[in-house]
Amino acid sequence: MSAAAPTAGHRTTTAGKPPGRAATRRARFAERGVDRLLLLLVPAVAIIALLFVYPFVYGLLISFSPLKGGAFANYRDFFADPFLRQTIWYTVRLAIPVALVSLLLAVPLAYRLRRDFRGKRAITLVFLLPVTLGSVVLSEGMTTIFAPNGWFNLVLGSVGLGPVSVLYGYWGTFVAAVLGILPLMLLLLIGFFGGIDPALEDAAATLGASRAVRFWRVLFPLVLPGLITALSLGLVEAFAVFPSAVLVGEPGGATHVLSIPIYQAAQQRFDYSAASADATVMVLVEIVVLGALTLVRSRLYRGAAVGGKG
Amino acid sequence: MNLRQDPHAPPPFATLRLDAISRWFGRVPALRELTIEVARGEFVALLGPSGCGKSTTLACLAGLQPLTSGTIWRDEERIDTLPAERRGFGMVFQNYALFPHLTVQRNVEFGLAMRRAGRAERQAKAREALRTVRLEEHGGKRPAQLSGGQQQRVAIARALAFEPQIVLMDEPLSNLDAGLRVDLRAEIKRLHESLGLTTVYVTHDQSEALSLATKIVVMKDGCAEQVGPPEELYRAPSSAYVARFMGYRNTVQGTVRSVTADGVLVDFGGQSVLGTFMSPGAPAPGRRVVVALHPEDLVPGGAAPRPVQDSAAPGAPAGRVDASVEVIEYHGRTTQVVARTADGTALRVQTDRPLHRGEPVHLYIRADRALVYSDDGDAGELDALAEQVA
Repeated sequence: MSAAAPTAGHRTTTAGKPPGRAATRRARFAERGVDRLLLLLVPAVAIIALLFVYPFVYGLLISFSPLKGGAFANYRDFFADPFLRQTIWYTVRLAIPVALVSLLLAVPLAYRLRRDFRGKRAITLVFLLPVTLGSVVLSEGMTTIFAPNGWFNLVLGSVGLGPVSVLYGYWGTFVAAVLGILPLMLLLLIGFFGGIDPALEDAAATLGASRAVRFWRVLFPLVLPGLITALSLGLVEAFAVFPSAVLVGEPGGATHVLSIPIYQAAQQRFDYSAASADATVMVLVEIVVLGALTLVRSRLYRGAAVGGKG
Repeated sequence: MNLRQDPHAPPPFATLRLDAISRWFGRVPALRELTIEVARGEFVALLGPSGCGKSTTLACLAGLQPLTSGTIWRDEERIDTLPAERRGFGMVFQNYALFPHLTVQRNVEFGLAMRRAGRAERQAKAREALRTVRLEEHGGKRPAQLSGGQQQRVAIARALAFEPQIVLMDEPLSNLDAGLRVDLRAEIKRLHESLGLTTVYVTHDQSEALSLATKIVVMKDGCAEQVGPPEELYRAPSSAYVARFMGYRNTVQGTVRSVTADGVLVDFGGQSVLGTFMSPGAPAPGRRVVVALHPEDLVPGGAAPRPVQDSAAPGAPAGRVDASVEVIEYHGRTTQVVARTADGTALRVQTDRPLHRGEPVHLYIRADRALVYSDDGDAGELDALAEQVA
């Protein structure tokens, strides 16, 4: 080891000129995450800006320029008319139970599907299929299944129950909405449950935790932020329910939800200003509910669901 | 340290016995009729390459995986039918597996809470366990706020706090940096000795197994290849495979030339060396063999041959291999050298002698340290192993 090769130590003396000014500016911006990768955001930002932000702001503005009356006339009309005012309550009493029931159905499924086992793909596929059909096809299918002589009532009748009239009321829309939202939640929740390091459950088991305790003390707290995210998504979907409210609900009564007067104002009376005002009301109601959920979520543990190096 | 004076603790067991356990994944066997006995207070290391079944053994012992056949006994009690939560073994995982949403203190209390210990007792014992791993000041932190070494110490404290009869460790050090690994290894040794813990420890690292274990099980293809105390396995590995795991980094193919009273004379690398035949049966001239040589046992004698018998072991005949120095790694006191014989065989040598690249060396080896095994045709397998063991 006597004849050491020239080492890297010499390199500093022969280093090139200090980097140019443009280069240092680029480096400074890169430090703060501003570099050419940001260009990847352009398509998405453009789509959001053109197809959402602009129409939203435009709609908000025209809601204050009603066909007749002062700036707030549309809003005054909405809250003055009990039939319209009630749509808020009809939407909330549909959306919140739909989202909660979908969540309660999705959690055990996602829990079971979190690890690989034989037949997992087939089961997952069956539960995800409704999402491919869309709410119109689903609703149309329901009109035959739940018809007085559909198989649902025939089966109930054969065991001495029923007939139950699910269609054309609250429960028709409820079932259709759950069928549409459950697969979306399931997809999300499988990801959340699957993201929890299986070694955590193993560790809890060796420490003496039964299956139920492992779920409630380890999995549940780690997956809770994910449950709230899934619930939020389900709520947003349920708030906007429209085809099933018309096709299998009672659009003039029990399922007279917010989206219906919006549709009527825009497509039947061509009063875009009133439609925008009603839509703004819907957005505000959603913001209140989602805001509350976000607040709850922010108080939970939201770190990685792994127990060390993973 | 008196973690182990709980009057409610179950009576101490004498032996844990894995009796012909097998575990199949579909049509692939991971464990094949493995039998291991663990006496109370022993530190048993399961050593082997990845895929040899060592981690599966531990998972089956912990109750995290079911057995395909076989039984596990704690004295007279059959425990393989119990779920993991009722076996009462503490377990330490390779990736720590700390509960990320709980504080360090709560993590350590978890096992005690599961045993419905009172709040005061729980907190006191958890604090005691944290003190044993020297982390008493960190109880209020979340695991993510600690370094990897600290996290693994918390995991050890968590596995010890509820005073398990047996602690299982699944490669607990393999995610840590080299320096930290040595420190924590010493800590595990200290805990084992001061608490008298019965430990089953899975590793692929021979130095961990040698330094920690009172008994080593070298595993191969779901079976135990050799079982014994570290000194025995190091001195007399029963096969070239075990030798590889005991740090015999040179496994060279050769042919038996003759059998003498001093040992077998083996031709390899264009030269002959006197060695000791370790495999069952008697070697016949012309038989293909594998010679296992530990880097420390190859003693360079410089350009001018000097007898090394006098210094190393009086009377033991020494063989000589001629080679030239190819690579030198400086390690402070010692140097790791790769020397190459005329026919291209690379030999790893560890020495405290100053050597130079390109220099011809004579490597002397005592006949009782040149271990000769019958060649089972797994030389390629040994080379693959070398990658893992090195």
